[in-house]
Amino acid sequence: MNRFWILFRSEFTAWRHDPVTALGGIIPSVIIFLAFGVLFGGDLGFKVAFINKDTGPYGNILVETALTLPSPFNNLPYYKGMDMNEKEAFEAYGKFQIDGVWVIPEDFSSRIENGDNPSIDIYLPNYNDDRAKNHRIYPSEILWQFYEKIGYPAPPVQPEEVYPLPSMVEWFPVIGVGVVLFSATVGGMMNIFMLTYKERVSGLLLEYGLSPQSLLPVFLAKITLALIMALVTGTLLMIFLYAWLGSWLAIKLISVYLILGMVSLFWISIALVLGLHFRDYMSGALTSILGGIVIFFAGGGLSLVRPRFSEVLGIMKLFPNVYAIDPLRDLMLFRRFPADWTSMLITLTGFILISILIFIPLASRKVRHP
Amino acid sequence: MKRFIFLLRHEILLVKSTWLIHFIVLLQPAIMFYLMSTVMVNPTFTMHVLDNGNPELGMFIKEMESVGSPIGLPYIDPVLTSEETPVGIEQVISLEGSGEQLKAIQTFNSIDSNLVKNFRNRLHSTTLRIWNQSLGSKAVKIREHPLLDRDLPYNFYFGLAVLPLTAMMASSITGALLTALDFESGIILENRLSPQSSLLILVIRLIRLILTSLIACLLVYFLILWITGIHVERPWDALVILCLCAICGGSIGITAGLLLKRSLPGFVVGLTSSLGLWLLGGAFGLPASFSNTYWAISRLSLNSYSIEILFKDFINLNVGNPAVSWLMLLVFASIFVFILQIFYRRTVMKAGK
Repeated sequence: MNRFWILFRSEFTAWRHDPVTALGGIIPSVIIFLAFGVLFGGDLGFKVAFINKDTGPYGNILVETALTLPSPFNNLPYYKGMDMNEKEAFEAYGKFQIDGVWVIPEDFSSRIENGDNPSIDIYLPNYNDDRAKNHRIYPSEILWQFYEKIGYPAPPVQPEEVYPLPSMVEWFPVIGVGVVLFSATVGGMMNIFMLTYKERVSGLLLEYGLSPQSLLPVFLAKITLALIMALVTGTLLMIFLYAWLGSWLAIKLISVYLILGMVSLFWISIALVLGLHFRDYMSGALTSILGGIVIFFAGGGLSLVRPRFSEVLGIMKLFPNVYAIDPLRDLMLFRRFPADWTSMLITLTGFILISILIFIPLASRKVRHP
Repeated sequence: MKRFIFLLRHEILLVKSTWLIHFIVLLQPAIMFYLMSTVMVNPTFTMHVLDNGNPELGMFIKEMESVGSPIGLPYIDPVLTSEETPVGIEQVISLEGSGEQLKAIQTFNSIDSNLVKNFRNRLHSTTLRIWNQSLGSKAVKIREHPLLDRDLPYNFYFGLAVLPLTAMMASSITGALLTALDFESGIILENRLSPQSSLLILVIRLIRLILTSLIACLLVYFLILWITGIHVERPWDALVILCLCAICGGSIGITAGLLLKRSLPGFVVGLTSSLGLWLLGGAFGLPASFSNTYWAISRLSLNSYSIEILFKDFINLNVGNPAVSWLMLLVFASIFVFILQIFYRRTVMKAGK
């Protein structure tokens, strides 16, 4: 135990002297977090010019409905009306300064009153089929409410919704939790790379290799410190999330830390071997960190995994992040204990065991036979 | 000229000692694009419908299948299920009642507001189609005027946005690492002692970084071509834009290497700046389509201007003002190179002191 503490203190000194690298896991995470916050945390309503030429009352009712009907996405209206005349509107549309143009013809009201095929024109950009899709399906809800407002006969099929939670969970916090897990993972990996690199440069690794003592305390001290940094990085991101959303989301912090720690431990073991194995340690750091980014994007960082697990890429299922991310969201966003807590713990333990059983002997071999 | 070629050859041969780093930097954007293209938003959503034997179910499913783009993909892929509650799926719709009193009850799993919006929109599109049929000539018809004759896949936009990222990331990371290695191996001192202009060495490094970036971009371009079938119509224009992005990325990377003198923090700065500028510069859609704050911030990212010009180069679509975009790219490149040469001169002059 005494040896562990001596090694731990020496690792800590190295760690303290290189704060930029030690914080390396935080910087990319904060940038990603802020960028997604600005990207998806704001008002995403379509900027649309409504050219209402209708001489009767229904055109106004339609425009008013379009500008007030809230989206479940952020409880803000689907559309933001642009105050423009027809010429300005089409010019702005042509320059992609607005998202679309609705033109309500002069005879709209009279055709509604006479039941004579009323129509409107929608000009939409379709350079991106996802946004074009929104332009096509948002009007369904608008028209639905418009029909109700003007007293059309009741619909043959009435939609109803049942949501399992008392309030809607917004998308950006879902991404935010993904970034918290990413930050813990990268925070741990960056630190293990830094510690390994410093020991390699100073020749300490060679001394460890030649020492008759067991390497276990060496790895233990290194992994413990990297794990602490992983949790510190994760905590900092949680604080960012808190500052952004205005409420402390995490309940059962110990459970949150347990998940973050288990996932980080898996990656730290891999990073330890990569850091030792690659002659040029930067290759290992590059592989791991860029790999971490790919896993964040493709492995559930941007959306909930559980409801669409079958659609997750097969290769992503080989990593623990996919199994840990939704239980983490349960704890931090849905404020409930994950129903699959035990099975998730077993899965993560399996990952850690595999990682330790494979990678620690490999690391040990590398230190003994540099 | 001979000296120039010799120095360039030397710079390129540095690949030998850092081949793994180059391999990773060249492949990473392509891998990221490929993986993300398989998980990116697809307008066709699988929607589970409870198979409860309701006699109207056939009609309802048929209407669901009709919701979609007239010049693109369907928006709903209805799947019958026996599950009454959405376990392991995002939502389930149960058609209840009969005759003129039907209810489509949509029960959600714990999903985020974006998915709820998407599923709600699709269900309303289905039920509105049924309502419109019952209204006959009273129904409001939407005449659609899309900009292009076919919907372009989101992956195309995403690929377009990944190209400037690739150019920047490959050059910034490689630039930071090679410069840090100059310090670690003492080459920076040799540069100081050399009778050659330090700027010549800098220019050669930038050229070499541009070449690295272009190879990485070529890989991403082939993937875009393979996945979306859309090819570049004005390749020389695109080439110049990507070179400018590479110059900016390379300048950031080399400056980071000069200031930090160590590879790992230099790599972090190179990676973070590329990713940050990408995310803030229209990574997932044209900035004007997002909030005003995002749009304002995006004007500070060269990626947003690059994407605007690339639109013209790929599908001949004018986005924004191409002249302004070109000007901004040139301004960005000039500023980054100016800052770089100041730091480079200063650092080389101090080397060994």
